[in-house]
Amino acid sequence: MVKDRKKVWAALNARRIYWIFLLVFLILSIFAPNFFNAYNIGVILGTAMLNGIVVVGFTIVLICGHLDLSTVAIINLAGNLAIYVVEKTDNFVLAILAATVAGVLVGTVNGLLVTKAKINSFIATLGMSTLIQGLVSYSNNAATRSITNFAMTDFLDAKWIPLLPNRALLAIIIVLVMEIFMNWTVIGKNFYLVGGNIESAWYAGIKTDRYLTSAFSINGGFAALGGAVYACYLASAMADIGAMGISPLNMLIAASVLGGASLTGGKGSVLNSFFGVLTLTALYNGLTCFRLGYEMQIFVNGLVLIVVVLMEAVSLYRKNKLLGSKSDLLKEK
Amino acid sequence: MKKKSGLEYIGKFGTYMIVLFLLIAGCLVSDKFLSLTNLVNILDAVSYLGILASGMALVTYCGQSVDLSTPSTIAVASFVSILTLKFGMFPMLFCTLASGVLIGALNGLVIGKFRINTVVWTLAMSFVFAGLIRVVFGSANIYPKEGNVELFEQISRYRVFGFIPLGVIVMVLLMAVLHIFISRSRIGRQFKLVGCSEEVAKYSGINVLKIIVLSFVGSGIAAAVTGLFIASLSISACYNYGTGYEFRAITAVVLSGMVLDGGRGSIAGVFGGVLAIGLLNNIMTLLGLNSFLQNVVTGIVFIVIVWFTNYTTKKLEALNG
Repeated sequence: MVKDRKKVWAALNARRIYWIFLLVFLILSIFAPNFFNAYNIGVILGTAMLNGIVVVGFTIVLICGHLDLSTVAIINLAGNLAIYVVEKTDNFVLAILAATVAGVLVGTVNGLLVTKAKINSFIATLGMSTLIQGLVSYSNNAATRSITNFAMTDFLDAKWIPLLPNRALLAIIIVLVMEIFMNWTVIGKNFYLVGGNIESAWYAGIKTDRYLTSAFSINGGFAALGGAVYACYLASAMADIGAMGISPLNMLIAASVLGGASLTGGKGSVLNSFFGVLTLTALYNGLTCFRLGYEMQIFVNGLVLIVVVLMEAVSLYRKNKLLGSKSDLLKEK
Repeated sequence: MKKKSGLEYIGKFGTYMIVLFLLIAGCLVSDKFLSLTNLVNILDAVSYLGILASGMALVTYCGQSVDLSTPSTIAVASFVSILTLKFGMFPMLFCTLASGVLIGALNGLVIGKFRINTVVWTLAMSFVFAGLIRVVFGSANIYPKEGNVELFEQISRYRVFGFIPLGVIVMVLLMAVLHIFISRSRIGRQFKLVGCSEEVAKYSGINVLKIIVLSFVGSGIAAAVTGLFIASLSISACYNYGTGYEFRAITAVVLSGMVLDGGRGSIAGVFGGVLAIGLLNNIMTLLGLNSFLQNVVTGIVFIVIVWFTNYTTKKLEALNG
């Protein structure tokens, strides 16, 4: 009986994000005014676009057991670069492409600093973040860069599928492709191995350095793609998107941890993290429906993170406490 | 053999070599650099950072990587100090420090007991407190209305002997005390052992939980003192007073040669790291560099120095076998 309950709990915990998502969505649908209607659901899906795309790469870095603090700086770099290219050439495809390439480059440098120079990823990406953010702020003097060409805005706001704005469709396609890549291909599965135990992965013949570096490159690429598409959608780019409201970094960490990723690596999934983003976006949207400002959102963001982290930690603590003791003997009275 | 001792020398006094290099560079850049006013200004500019970094260093030293809750602790302390000013100076000081102790103890207890990832937990705490402040007080600044505001102003403005700001004195004293505490006292050595290996520390009978809680309490108090100074400087409290300070403190700690795995480095080194940041900023300002470009240069210097320190440590470990 106890064992069964544990199994059920473990199964529930592994898919906790879907339960939490359903719960949050249900409660808000019932209680929050103007929450459950076609328009608002479209808004939620659309708002989740930026973080939904960026969280893909962020989760892959987390799966490898690292943290990329430069993600927000890369988003800003990509947004400003994309708007700059559109100003010059009026070509959105070129702009997004250029921004993504820049993001991949920055990510690769991050990866090389971590794998070849053996710098702790927290420190390497922190330094990189200062550098990139400084460059971005310097290039446009901390002002907002904007364009008057709204072609991309119209395209991303259009709905090829009812209820679903194209920008949400874009995020969903990227998430699904990457989820399949991470779970169904050898290369994708190797990322989990590298994150779970880097030494045994190395002994198994996996080129660990290459995987770590490419994880950072992938993160750079998706952060840049998200940032560029978002900037083109808004037709403007701020010098620091993190300075307004909730920084994407906070959202990204909370969403991935909620989705089951852990900073020790080897755990997590792109799809779960995306649902983490959806849950938090829905939650914030719901708070706005109650006419609560984003002060409350920051507070709730922290509370959610604390509850999830504590839950996980307590279960791990219990498990470790029983480790090595003969549990069947403990049951005897 | 000789190579090894040279490397050890770099590992130990690396930050002071940077400081020396920057001092020489500063003299070459401007003749105003070596004046007493400028040197005091450099110290003054980094004194709050130094206070914060010495607390952060305790957390890093005992192997708990970083305390990201400091910005919110600074903000909370600034609010507490402004709100309790009407009860008098000493109750205000007591309450401000107590707020730092409480937040630090909470961090330390949870992290020490449940082995939660420090970055995630302290970040979550940071959101909670930042959110709490903004829910209660909104995004506005609040100002002291009653109490001895003149004296409160003087905390950040008073200059000992007419030219050394109080913040600098506090920073130097705090660092001296912590340095002696860490390197000479019994509990200080336990910090090092916990930083090197928690398992070994546990099996040699050290109360690991106590040490971790102490380190976070230290960080909390340091952040509270920083918050008090900032509140006194602007004679107000606001939710964003600590923003960015945590990363600058981490920069100082890492420049000092401490590694995030813990157990290495010293508080005297942190003083060097803080000095290096102050000198670098001062020289760049004397050169007339845009503040955003200063960030770029800081980022590059940071990465290069960490790279170099890492390289020498790895070499040293290889030589030691």
